[in-house]
Amino acid sequence: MLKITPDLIVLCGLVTGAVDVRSISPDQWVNLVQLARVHGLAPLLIRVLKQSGINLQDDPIWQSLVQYMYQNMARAAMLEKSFQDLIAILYKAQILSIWLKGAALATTVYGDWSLRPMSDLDVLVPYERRDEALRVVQQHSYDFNHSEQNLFGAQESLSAHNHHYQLIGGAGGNAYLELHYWLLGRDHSHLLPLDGLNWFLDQTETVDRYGYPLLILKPEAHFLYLCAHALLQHSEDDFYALRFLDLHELVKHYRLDWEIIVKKAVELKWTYAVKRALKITVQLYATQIPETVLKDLMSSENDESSTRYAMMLSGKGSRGERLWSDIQQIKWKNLPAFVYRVLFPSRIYMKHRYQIPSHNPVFPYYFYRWFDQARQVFWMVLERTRYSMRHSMRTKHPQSDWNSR
Amino acid sequence: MKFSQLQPKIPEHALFRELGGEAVLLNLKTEQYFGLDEVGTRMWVLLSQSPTVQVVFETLLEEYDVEAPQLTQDLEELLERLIKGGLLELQASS
Repeated sequence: MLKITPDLIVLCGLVTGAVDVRSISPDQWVNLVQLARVHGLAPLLIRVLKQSGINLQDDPIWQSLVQYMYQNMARAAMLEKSFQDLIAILYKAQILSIWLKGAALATTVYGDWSLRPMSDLDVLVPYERRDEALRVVQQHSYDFNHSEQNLFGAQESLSAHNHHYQLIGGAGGNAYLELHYWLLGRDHSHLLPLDGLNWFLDQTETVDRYGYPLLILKPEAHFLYLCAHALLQHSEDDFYALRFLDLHELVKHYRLDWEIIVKKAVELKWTYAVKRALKITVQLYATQIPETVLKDLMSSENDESSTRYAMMLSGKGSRGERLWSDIQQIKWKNLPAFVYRVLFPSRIYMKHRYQIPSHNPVFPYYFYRWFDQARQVFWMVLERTRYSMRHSMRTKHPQSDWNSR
Repeated sequence: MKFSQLQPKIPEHALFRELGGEAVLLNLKTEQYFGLDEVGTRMWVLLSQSPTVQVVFETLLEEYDVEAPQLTQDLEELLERLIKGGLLELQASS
């Protein structure tokens, strides 16, 4: 369920400059700092605080923020270095590579990688060249990332119906890379048919950075993708305010052609996702959009499959639910590889996931992993059971709930 | 001052990032990072550009309202921490 609290609205106002730092009482800061960290807004909050003349080293209230700041800057340094290397690697291999989300936005809209936190780098390559691109990056230190979010580590078994390869490598061996060959995952050909994907591949522009041509989506295409990513990939159930700040910043930074956005949203059957993403963005950041845009989107809305999909996700988009749906798609022949990866993920992943000091042996940590996985499965089953019990008692159609929001 | 005639050298596995006057140094080999406040950031920038530690010391003495013994202590402390963290090497100046 979407959780937009009054404190979150205040925080969003702080980072956009709509709320004055001096209007915040000392008691409020504890929660605001916590929220800023959870929602990826801490770097911008730090910038606002500094601009207001607050010395973060002076007061213990900012201690966690300072710690976060250094951690985030270190991560940004590592990711940007990996990004620079990847641009060169893919350019030399002559593989069309379009940078998405954090990497593209940090470079163009935010202006500094430390201001736009990200956990990974996202790049889109043509579907038919995905394995070639995979081989190229594998030759440059990247390996499959066998993480939890990635079905306990068995993505090779799922690549046929997934939308990206999740890899780890690069600077220090710790950069996560999502090598996309489709823009949306889960039921991707339904939510974004091939024609639609090809349209995105055509909607690119080149930015001159890092000594190589850097390809990113045009602002309108990026805007559409980010709306779909927020609502159809992650859902409101998995709410993260930074995703909507990205939309706000795109609107602020570019003179978007709203006609193209509405027209394409209709063609892609994404009107619901775009409308909903815009409403949330406006609610959080008081983003200025032309009045007609929402009206146009609503008048074009029909019984889209993506609407139903977004609603379904918002109600039952739990991690366990999605995980189970993915596991069901594994073919029998891939099951042994899946089980093996669940039990024995790579050493590099183990070191990262369990923060194993470089001088410690990895093997003993596998025992902890098995315990940890069993515990997570238990909680997921419990979550699913609770969900089923709660919803079996509901008599209303989900649509009636949705419209009341 | 210790190290005064030595030349600072930044190893390839050390990454530096600055934002709003503060900075972080990351050792890619050990994955350890090291936060620097504004003065520390200035020290690092000078270390990355100067032919010897002595030049860094003299520049800082001019730029900041600090007594030489205090600056010596602070600079040596930073140098030792950076060297220990694998973020800086000192070599005989050519």
